Amino acid sequence: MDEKPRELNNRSGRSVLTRDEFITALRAVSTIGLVRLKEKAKFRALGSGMEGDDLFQEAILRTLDEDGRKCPSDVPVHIYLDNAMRSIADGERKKYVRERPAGVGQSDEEPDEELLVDPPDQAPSPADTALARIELDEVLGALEQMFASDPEAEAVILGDLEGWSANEVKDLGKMDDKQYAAARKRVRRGLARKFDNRG
Amino acid sequence: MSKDSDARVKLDLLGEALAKDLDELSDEELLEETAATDEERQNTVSHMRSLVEKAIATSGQRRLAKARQAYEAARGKGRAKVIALPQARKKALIAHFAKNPQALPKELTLAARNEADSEADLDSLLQDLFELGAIDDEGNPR
Repeated sequence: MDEKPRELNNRSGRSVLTRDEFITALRAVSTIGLVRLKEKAKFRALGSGMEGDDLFQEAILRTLDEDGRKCPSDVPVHIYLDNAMRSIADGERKKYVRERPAGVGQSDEEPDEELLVDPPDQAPSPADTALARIELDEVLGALEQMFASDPEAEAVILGDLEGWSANEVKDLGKMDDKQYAAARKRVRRGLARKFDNRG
Repeated sequence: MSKDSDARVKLDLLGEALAKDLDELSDEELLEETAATDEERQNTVSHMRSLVEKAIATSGQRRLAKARQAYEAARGKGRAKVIALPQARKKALIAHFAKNPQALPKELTLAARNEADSEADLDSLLQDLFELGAIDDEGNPR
């Protein structure tokens, strides 16, 4: 970007993009960058109660909001948006944990930002309803159930949920590199199809 | 860690692992996996660009509404209490100044004599009189 950033983040003192600079950078995201963001948004939104598209727009709206998030000038906008989506989705899941009755998943953390996009519509079918409800355990159970008939894909899902390394997952599923890569692809495609319009 | 917090962390880890996968795919692999045909790719990209433009437009509308609200608040704050008087009392006040223009600017005197009828006209005249110091905040001539 030719223009030197003029704004600084209030808390970190880091140089950030102005609103106009952010909009310019946003419009300049490449075709492939947008495809990548669309797919990431679906996965980031899992269990947040938001659709991937809503999560993507929420990240933009919060950045354009005067008192909202700011994109550091040394971070590419597509990376910034991915990080923002991760943080927003996690915030939405946290809200759910706090909203549960006393004694169930309480949290002392600070309140999160309010959603700027409208909440998603009601789920269109009973099958989707189970996944759409912001009940995290049910989402987890549904994710595991999706791949119950594919032990390799199930191992990938379980390993990812636990934060295991690739080698640990391969050991668990008794997979070589090629089988592991193919299983990961089946998981990605299965989830992307399932959550095409819903988080 | 509660059961729900645990589930929250797990879902975050899963999202992170899948996002990392996408970063590791080449452009060709990503397109092959997500949008097999040119038409699908074009649809995906135009959909995303439209989401971007809608978000920018929504944000612009919100900024405008916020600015308008701030302006209205500032304007309302500076308004004299006289604006809240009954309409008949407002008309009587204007009639008083139409008959006794004293040192009012010519334009204001003319406006007063033109017998403003609408509430907005009356309010505007009274606000001008207040700002000129011809009346106090409650409409009493000074």
